[in-house]
Formats: sequence, C-alpha cells, structure tokens
Amino acid sequence: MKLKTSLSRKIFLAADYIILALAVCLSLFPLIHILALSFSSAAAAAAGRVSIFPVDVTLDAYKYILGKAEFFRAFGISLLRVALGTAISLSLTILSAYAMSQPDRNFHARKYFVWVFLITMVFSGGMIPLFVVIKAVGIYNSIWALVLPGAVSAFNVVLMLNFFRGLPYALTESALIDGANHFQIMARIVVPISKPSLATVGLFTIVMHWNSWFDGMIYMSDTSKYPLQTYLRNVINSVDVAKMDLTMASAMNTLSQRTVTAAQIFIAIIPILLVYPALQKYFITGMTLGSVKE
Amino acid sequence: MRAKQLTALLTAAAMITGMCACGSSGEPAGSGSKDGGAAAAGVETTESGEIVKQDPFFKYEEPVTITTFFEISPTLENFKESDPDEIYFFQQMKEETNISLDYLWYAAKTADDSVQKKSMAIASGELPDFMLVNSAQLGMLAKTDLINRDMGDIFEAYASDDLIEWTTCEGMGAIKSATYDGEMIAIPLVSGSIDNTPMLWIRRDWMNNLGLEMPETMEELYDVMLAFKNDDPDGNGVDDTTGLTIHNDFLSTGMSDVVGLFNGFGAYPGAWVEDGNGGLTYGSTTKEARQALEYLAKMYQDGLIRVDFSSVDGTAASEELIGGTSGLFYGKMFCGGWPLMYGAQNDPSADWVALPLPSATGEPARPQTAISIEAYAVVSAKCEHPEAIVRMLNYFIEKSTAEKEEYNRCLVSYDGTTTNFPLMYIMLRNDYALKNLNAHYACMEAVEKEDPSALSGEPLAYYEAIMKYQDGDIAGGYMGQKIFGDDMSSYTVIDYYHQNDLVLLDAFYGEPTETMGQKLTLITDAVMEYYTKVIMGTDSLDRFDEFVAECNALGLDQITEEVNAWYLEQ
Repeated sequence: MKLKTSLSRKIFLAADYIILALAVCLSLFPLIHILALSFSSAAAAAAGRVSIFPVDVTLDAYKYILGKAEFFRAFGISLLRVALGTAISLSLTILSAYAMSQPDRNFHARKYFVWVFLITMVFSGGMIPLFVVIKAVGIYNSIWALVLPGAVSAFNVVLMLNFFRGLPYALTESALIDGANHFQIMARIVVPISKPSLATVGLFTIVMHWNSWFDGMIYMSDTSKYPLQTYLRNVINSVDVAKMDLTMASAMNTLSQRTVTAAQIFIAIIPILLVYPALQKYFITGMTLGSVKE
Repeated sequence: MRAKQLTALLTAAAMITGMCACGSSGEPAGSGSKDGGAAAAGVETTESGEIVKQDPFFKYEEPVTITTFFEISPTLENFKESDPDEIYFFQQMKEETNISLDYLWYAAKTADDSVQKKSMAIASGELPDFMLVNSAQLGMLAKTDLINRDMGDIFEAYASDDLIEWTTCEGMGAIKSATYDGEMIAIPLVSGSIDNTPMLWIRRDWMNNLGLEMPETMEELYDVMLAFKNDDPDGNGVDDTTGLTIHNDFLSTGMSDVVGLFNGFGAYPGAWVEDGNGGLTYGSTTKEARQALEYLAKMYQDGLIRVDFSSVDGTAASEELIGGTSGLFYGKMFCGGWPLMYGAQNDPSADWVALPLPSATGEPARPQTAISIEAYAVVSAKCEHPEAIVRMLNYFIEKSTAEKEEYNRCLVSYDGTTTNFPLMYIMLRNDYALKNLNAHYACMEAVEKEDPSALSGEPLAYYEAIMKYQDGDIAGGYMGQKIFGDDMSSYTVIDYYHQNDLVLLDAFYGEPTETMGQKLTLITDAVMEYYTKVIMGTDSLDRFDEFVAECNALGLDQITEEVNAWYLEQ
C-alpha cells in the first residue's frame, strides 16, 4: 500500500529542498569563487571581473606555485604536524580515557581525575603563561610547540571515555579472568572495538591541527617553520591601505596576485577534503554512541 | 638634573628646527620635575650637569652584537634568513662601527604577526636589545622597568646633527610623544607627515571627454560627480560608472576614504583641532562634520556612491579604480603607484591626476594629517650598549644620504629589476620629512634641464620613470610620472600644500590618555556606525546633537577634558 502524501506535506518538502539548496549554494559559492579566481588571469582578478567562472583561463597561478618553495615547505610542516599531533593525541587520549572508564570500585580516585580534566575545559592559564612555559621547557620554535600543548583535549577524553563506558564491562572482566592485564585489554579488546570513537576523535584532531594558525604565529620565531595556515594567513591578509607607502605601492605587482593566493588556498583545502569522506561513516556514530547510558 | 638635560636637548634641537623650513614651530618642553637622576652609563657630564657630546661616528674597539627582530615585508619574496647579513649596508656597518645584529625572531610584516610577537616579548618580559613598538605598547612599557629610561641622555650625547634634525624637523612633537614623566624613554622614528596628506584623484581623460573644468569647490565637485555618474564619461555606451569611490572604513586615510572630503568643509574627523578658544575639540562631532555628512548623504541619494559601499573593503575599492568604472576618489600620494599604475596596465588611457582638496568654505581646504611617527625604538634595560642604537641610526642616515658612489653600493634589488636602498632589510630607520618633496624638486629641475647628472639614488630612479612615461611607456613610468612628475602629480599638490602652509596636524600627539585607552575605540565605532547610517539614509542628521550627546556619554567629554589638560601643559 502506498502512503498518500498530503498537499501540505508536498509544499513542506518543496520548501525544505529549496532552503537546503540555497544553503548549499551559499557554502559552495566562496569555494567556487576561489577556484575560478585561481584559474583566471591576474589582470581580470585585480579588476574584480571574476565571479564563479574563470576569466581568461590560465594555469599561471599554479605554475607559479610550483616554483614556490615556501608554500611546499609550509605544506610539509602541516602534514608532519598532523601526523605527529594525531598520533600523540590519540594515544594519550586513549590512555587517559581507558583509565577513567574503569568502574569506581576498581579505580577509587576516578572521579577526582575526571574533575581534573573537566576543570581544564572551563579554565585555562591564558596565552602568556602558556607562552612562558613553552619557552622555559625549551620547545619554543620547534614542531613540538605545535603538537604538545594541545595534545590532550578534555573534550575528546570525555567523548572517548563515555564511549568506553558504553562497552559491556563483561568483556573486560572475562579478559581479566583469562589473565590479561589492563594494558593488554586496552590494546587488544577495547581499542579494536572502538573504531567509531577513534575515527571521531582522530578527525577532530586532524582538522584542528590542519586549521590552526595562531600557535604557529606565536610559538615559531622563524617564518620558515610556519605551518601552512599561518603561512597562508600572512599571504592572504588583504592590503592594509593605512600602512601603504611608496615601497609597498611599487611592489604591489607581486603582492596583489590574488590568483596565486586563491590557488594556494585551494590546494590547502584538498587534504581535508580527502580525509572527510573516509571517516564520515564513523563520524555520527562516534559522536552519539557514548551519549546514552543505561 | 635630568630635566635640565632634556631641556638642553630640546633647545638644541629647536635651534636646528629653526633652520629646517618645516613650518611648525618647536618650543622647548621643560616641566619634568625629576631631580638628582645620575647620567646614564657611558654618558659623560660636566660638573654643571651638561652632557658632553660624543663622536657620533665612533667605532667600538671590540665587536658588539645587538639582538633585535626582523620583519619580513611582503616585498621580500623568497627571503632567506642569511639575506640581511649579506648586503653591503650591514657588512659596511660592521666595518665602520663594529656592530652586528642578531635577530631573535622573524615575523611577517602583517598587522597580526609582527604585533603579536612583540606583544608576547613584552608580556613575557624578554625584550631583545632593541625593538620597535607602537604608541600603545610604549605606554605599556613606560610603566615597567624593562626598558632603558636614559635614552634622552644617550640620544643627546651620541646623536649626529642629521639625526637630531630629522627627528625634530616637524617640531618637538615626536620627542615629546616619547617622553614620559620628563624622561625620554624611546627614540621616535619619524617620517614625513606631509607625505600622508589627502588629495583628490581624478581621471583627466574623462574630464576632457565631457569638457569639464577641474573642480575647486565642493559644488563644482558635485557637478563633476554627477557627470561621471550619468554622462558616460568613458564613452562605452553602458551605464557602468560611479561618482566617487569610497570603502567601508572611510575614515581611515589612504585610498578611497572621505577624510579629504570632510577637510573640504573644515571638518577633521578623528583629529584633535583647536576650537578657537584655546582648547582642543574632537573633529568627528563638530558642526562642520555635520555639513560634510549632509553632502555625503545627498551623494548617496543621488546614486553617486555605490549602494553597497558599506561592504566594500580597500581591495574591492581598488578594483573599481583599476577596472575603470570610477574616475574620482580621495587618496594619499602613493595612489599614483598603487592602485593607479595597475589601472594603467589594464588601460593606458586612464590618465589620473591629483588635485588639491576642493573646498566649501571659500578658503583653501586644509588637508589633515598627524605627526608621522613610524615607530618608537625602545632599548632593553639589559642591553649593555644602548648607545649602539643611536650609533646605528647615525649610520643609517649617513648611508642613505651618502654620495652617489657609496649610495649606489648600498642598493639592492628585491624583484630583480629595479634597485632600491635596502630599506626592507633595515628595521631601525627613519625618514627625512621633506625627502620625497625634495626628490620631486630635484626631478623637476633635471626634467627642465634635460640633465639627470646631478641626481642619484631615489630621485634618479623617479627621473628615469618620468622619462619612460614621456617616451610612451605609460604603464612602466606611470608611478614616477604620477607621483613625482610635473604634470598634476602627487607632489605638485603636496608642494602647493607646503608652500601655502596648509597642512593641519592633529594637535594631540601625546601618550593616549587614560580614558582614551579604555573608550576611544567605542567612540570611533559609534562614529563610524552613525556616519554610515546617515550616509545610507537609515539615520537622520536631525539626530546629530543626540549623536554627539551619545559620544559624550560614552566618554568623549572625559577624553576631551584629559586632552585639554595635556594641551595646557604643552
């Protein structure tokens, strides 16, 4: 039997799709504009003649980037940062979440430690103290300054902790009876069945590392050690008219290459575009699975 | 004792100022009442406390390394950290002074990167030997013991005559603005305020197409704008032109702002001007500002300003000028280079010229600007050789004014084609206020005599550009011709301002007052909001008095009080 859809339902659906389509256009437009810019001629871009289709199509911008060592260096640093940062974050998060997912009777100080983590979600030491610490421990101006300070996010720990608690404790118990220690249980049983939460936390970490630029700016004293987003931030920064002078004005030829900027932005989006679909299927489950407790 | 020394310095400087034809008069400040301060280390004093002048061009016997920072200008493509050390300028500095520089950090010369890194250095209390800061950061440092507070003595003892003249050429304001509680705690690095005056840029080819006269009054300007909007000045048969290009941050001067337009009415938004009763008043809330707003609102109604100007940023405004849909805007002298040179690359027939500000008052309009202090050089309290900073400034001035042969040795090329004095590599530098104007005079003379042999350095480069333009390479020589040329260029306008003593300097140049630091941003935001709404017709000018009252409630009257208290002390 076919369900009859009422007229009002049809109207609702139509309106729904139109609104969603508009929302899609709104979010796609900047992306398409950037793509169009990157394939346009520099003159057309400077005169503002490009909207969603390239004008005077050319590959100049991409050719120019191929010769730009700084861009690829920054790109490499970002990749290294993501790899290193995600590995460290995931292992530390798993370790802390596993311990805190144990029942109170096995781990008496559990609540205390959970609070220690939760407090950091609300209060932070602030930028300057963090900066001073980073200088004092000697990781200033090295990749570790980008990877270590945010390695354990309390939010991710809580997310994973709730996921672990959602797993039947009987699994752990039976392994204990079989003579496994906690480390073996964690590595051989809990982690393999927690892929959704690993994927979620992993994706959060990857995106966070790929997108952050501020730490690169304040913790790196050599611009040659900037990660990609910090580098881009400096490239994209639109012309500060109030600070313009003769030397700058005469050099705007090289500075105002909006097409090159657009091409760099576009290349910088690609890695994340590739990661998303691969992890998407775990994503929703990972976010919500831990949230229901019996 | 120290107050006496400062007074001595100011008087000495004032004497030199007298020789420099800058217009503004310097008067010695001398009310700092600190007593008994010993002279700075390394500064000799006579028994009566006068500072003994040292050789400004001395050489250290042992090599001295000074730590600082490096700001990578976007002009420096493919910058390598070894680059600065390799240029002749710094190698020769090592040779002549035995000073070399060690850069503790490298930052991109963008608003946040460089400022952030400096703020972090200040906040963490680890300053390099010297650093350049803005006035807000200087105010912060003034309250700490991180910096050397004897810079006044050291400056007086070691500064060359040229350095003193450059620093004080436009009056004592620069030095006073670096003086806290009677102590000069930083060296102000000045440039020419006259270079920052607003002017009107106009497409002469459009004027000729329409058979119009160059506007001198605001009424004539209005007619020109109407014609540019409605009479198809580019003759392409399409209604695609606009009256006047402005962008959303229209009170920030540079390009496509409206400060010049306000000046035409005798209004000086954002500046502190004399109110005629011996006090200072804030230029954004005067009745003249109201008239200017009325004019702008009418323009918007008549479609002379883009409907969506409030979402147009500087880059988008420049696109209009480059793309050839606008033939009129207010801007500074550099506009002849950017953006107009790029417009000429698109369309060589775009014949932009600069005009003095049209006026609505019958008197010539006075372009507003502020004392131009690029930065303050602060010296760390831990620095063992504070005089080295003064020595390096002496060296900089010596080289940048050197004879042709030596000057040419210093030149570098950033982009492989043109050569420049390596300013982008030198953090510690200042500028002679009339340098560019003098370059214009020198160019004019050479063009007239058709003989560039007397020129060297920058003026020569400008001369060559002018020649290129006159030989038909419009885009290649555009910048030189439009900025330094003889045909309605930036500097013919600035020369006119200078000859007629029209430049109006912001009368307040001290440290931001207490309430200013807390509330001025609120007030400038309120001003921008109200102005934008009035221009777009969503708020009424009848509410102007109410708006002034709102500003006062936000703290403007308090600030005005503080500014006037400061003004009385001067």
